Amino acid sequence: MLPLFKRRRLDIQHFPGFGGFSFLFYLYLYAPILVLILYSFNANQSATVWTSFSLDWYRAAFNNQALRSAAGNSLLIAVCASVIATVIATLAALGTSRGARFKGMRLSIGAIMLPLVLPEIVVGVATLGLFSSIGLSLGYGNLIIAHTVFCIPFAYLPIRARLEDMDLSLEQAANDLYAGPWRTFTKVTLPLLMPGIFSGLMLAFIVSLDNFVISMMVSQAGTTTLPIFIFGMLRMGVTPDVNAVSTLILAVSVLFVSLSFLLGKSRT
Amino acid sequence: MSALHSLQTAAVSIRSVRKVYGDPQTGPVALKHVDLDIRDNEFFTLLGPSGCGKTTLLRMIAGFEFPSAGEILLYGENIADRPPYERPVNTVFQHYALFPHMSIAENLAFGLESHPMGKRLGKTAITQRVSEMLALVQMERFADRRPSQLSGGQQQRVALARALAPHPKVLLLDEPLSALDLKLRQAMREELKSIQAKTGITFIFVTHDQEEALTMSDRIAVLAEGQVQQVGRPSDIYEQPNNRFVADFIGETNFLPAQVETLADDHALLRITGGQLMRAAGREGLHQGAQVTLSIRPERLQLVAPDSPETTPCTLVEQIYLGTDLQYQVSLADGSHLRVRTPNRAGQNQSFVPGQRLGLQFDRESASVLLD
Repeated sequence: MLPLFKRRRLDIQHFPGFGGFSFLFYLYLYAPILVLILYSFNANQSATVWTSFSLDWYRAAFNNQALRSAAGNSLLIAVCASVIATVIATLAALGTSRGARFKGMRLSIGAIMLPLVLPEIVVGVATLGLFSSIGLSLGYGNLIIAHTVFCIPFAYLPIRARLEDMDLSLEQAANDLYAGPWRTFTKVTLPLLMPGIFSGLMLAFIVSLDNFVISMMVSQAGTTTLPIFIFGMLRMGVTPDVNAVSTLILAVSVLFVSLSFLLGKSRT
Repeated sequence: MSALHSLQTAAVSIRSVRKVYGDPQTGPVALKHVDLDIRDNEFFTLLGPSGCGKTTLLRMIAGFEFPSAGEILLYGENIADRPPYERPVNTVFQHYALFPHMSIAENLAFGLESHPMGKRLGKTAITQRVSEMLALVQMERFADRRPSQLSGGQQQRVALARALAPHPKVLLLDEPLSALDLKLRQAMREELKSIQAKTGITFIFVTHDQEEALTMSDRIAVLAEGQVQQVGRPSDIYEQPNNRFVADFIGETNFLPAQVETLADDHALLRITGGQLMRAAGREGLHQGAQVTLSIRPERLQLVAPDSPETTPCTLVEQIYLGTDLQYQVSLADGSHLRVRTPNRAGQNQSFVPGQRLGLQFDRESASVLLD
């Protein structure tokens, strides 16, 4: 009776070949990355023939002066852009979920999120066009401005989600207990919003660190970022040190995205 | 003289308050026209079903909503336009709204530190007041805990202590017991009442639970559809309901059509369908021969042997065992159904059979005439 009953449920897990199909699906997603990580530890000069384990390519990458300076550029730009974007996104989130309702609010929220779906190549070309037409040449500044723009929606999402989840009666309780708007904001709203703000900051940081298309358009001599530098290395063929650098970037990205996710979920 | 007197002793006066959300002409009306006087040191309850406007009224006293028209006086001073942080009233929120990122002691100190007076108090005075308040609600041991580490009942006490700490002139309680289980709710009723007596602060309590209202309040205002239906002591509200809504909302009742037979100075004699004569307190607007509705509580009716004198014949429809009480449903000659309730006393309950013919006896003075 019981097995019959069980079989009648249309459970996709009991379809024949479900396990094998799932395995293939994950392989399809992650095989290139697994191979890249594996070969970053390969001792062989050729990037495609495995001989033995070694950390030589990491050493080579660390000793590459040009690579280190590109990584430094990327970090500087990512820190500046993500901090500026998070400040703007926090204000935008407060305005759209705590301020009085205003006409065109949905449109404003849509406009904040739009950079998420705009074709990057178009944004890149447009930014480059604008910068050169007004003759803006700030070096790092150009890249920071361009990165801030596409970082804002990534920072905005977790902050707004946190604000929407927050019990409005907490701020009312603060008001009721003689705290004016400023004290309520600094003592109640902001501390409770902090996990959302950090989560947004981490996401924005990673998005800036990994960006290629827009950086490629906007960067000038001396402000080469890490992704652009790696692209340049590939012109001379896939060398194992590219694998090592890519693995490092991947590790940083996974770390920050996990942190962002955990902070976004945390309950205080 | 008496007007002046009431002005002096009213803690909160609601004067012609109206509240419309959104557009003043077409928006939904939360409160139509409310006039209320809440006395100093009173346990006052706003009672009504959800959507009656009781919470809106409380939120207007707290300052979270502003009236569309009318005045709210706090000891004679109009506070209707002031923001919540400039009103000497505090609120116990329905879901407590304790600050999750602060310890219990920090939660209690928050209002004292924010208060303009509190800034002059100094750290030691605040710490002393906090421990005083923790002692009042017997939560001294939990001063360093976080709200999430406390049970619902404990959070409730902390919320109460936090609201009382800055010595508010009036304490507002927004259905504070609704999230607790039955045993705890009953214990908290007594505790709230004793804390009110101890502190001497005026309590305004919002609830939809009529039992809560009857057991705790000095006076009750029954609200429905944005209007005050009746204001009075619990016994007034229960024994002499003004209208059908109040009679039906507070406790169980029977409605009986009746005709006014004789009118005296302070009472009326009415004949109910089925023939029996009832005596009830007089009311304005009654005239001889008028058709009215009587409300009679089920516990004021008795079932007796069918041929007893001064009874109305009836037939037992069903009998329900309620534990503390026994409830009977009987039908009268005209087909109307009435509920009868008797305490469940050992050995004293006659056993009846559905379909059995019985006599229905009304307590004298047990009926009240309803205005609509």
